Amino acid sequence: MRRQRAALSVRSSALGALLALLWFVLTGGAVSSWIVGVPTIAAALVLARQIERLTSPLRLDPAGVLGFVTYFLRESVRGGIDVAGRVSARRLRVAPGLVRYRWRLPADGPARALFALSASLLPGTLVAAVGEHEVLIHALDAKGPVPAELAELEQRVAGLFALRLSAPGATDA
Amino acid sequence: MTGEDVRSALSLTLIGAGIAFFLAGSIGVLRLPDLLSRLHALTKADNLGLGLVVLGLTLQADDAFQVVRLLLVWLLVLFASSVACYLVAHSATHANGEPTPTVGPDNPSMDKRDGR
Amino acid sequence: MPEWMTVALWIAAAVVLATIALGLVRVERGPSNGDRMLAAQLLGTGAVAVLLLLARAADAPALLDVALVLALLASVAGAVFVRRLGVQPVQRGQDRTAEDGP
Repeated sequence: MRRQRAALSVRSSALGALLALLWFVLTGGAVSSWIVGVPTIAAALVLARQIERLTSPLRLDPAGVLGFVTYFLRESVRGGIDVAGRVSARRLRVAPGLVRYRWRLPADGPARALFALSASLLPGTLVAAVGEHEVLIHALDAKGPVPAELAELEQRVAGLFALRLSAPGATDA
Repeated sequence: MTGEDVRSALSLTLIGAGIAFFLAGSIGVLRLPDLLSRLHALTKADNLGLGLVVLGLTLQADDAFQVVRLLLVWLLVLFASSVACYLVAHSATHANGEPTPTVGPDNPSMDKRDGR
Repeated sequence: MPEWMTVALWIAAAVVLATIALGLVRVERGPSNGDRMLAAQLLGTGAVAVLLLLARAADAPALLDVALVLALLASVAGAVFVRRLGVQPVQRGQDRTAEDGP
């Protein structure tokens, strides 16, 4: 109990520092703005504490975060070029369809939300529905290697949150 | 040519590339056959377009504050568009409160290869 | 900032605006109401780009804050998203890698 409280206050301080930095950047370092800034940050911290009681502890792996960011930027560029090429061709090169993908990420915590948010920004995939066991993906080219790309994204998200996934394909047993 | 010129040229090149992606996004929205495919064009092309415009403008920024603010704007737009994208896709595939099972990769009727 | 850069940025903003207008033709055509949400997205992303370009071209950094607020408001939809996604009240202590087979 005591340890939990200590961990909570460490996280509160970290969040507070982050919010203060954000405020500093947004206001361009204006000193008088802290009259509004300090109460706002305090209110945000109280609110965050209320919410945090409901969710599982968050763990981030620094190497995983870096890996995810690079992966995301690279894939964003690829996604944009991919879709631009498909729609500029004389004949549209699309074969849209829905693909079901079985979750390997755990249902609790923010991992699935991050997966769903990023999947829609990556090449050729769009999240249509999120279920307990499966996620429904709309693919611009349903004949492409959609499951393999989703598996990689899942792996990257798992890496960011320091989670371990079961081997791909094991779910089909 | 000074370093300042090179930076300006690079900045304009990035902004130009960004505009090209905005154009591709709009073309996609016009040409693609169904709503979900149109969403693809919008989310991917427009987000990359904005990303490139932001990157180009960071090269001209007055100070580090502006750079962070520009990047923050891009991140927020990414988040917002991914969320909106999901909401549209969700309501489109769950027209009657249930997933529509008729659309799938093996359904040839979805396989429209040429748009209007 | 050199004169030609200001001109180039104004032109860039105008071109982005034109591409948004092009995309809005689709909204006019419809056919489904999902296309309206599409419109919100198209306008949101495009308008932010235009504002950022104008902030630099007109040397009005306040427009940067306008873009920031616009993007921020758009992401309020995130609350709705999390609601829809349903952060499942999974019991603690459950195996994190457990498979939920049928």
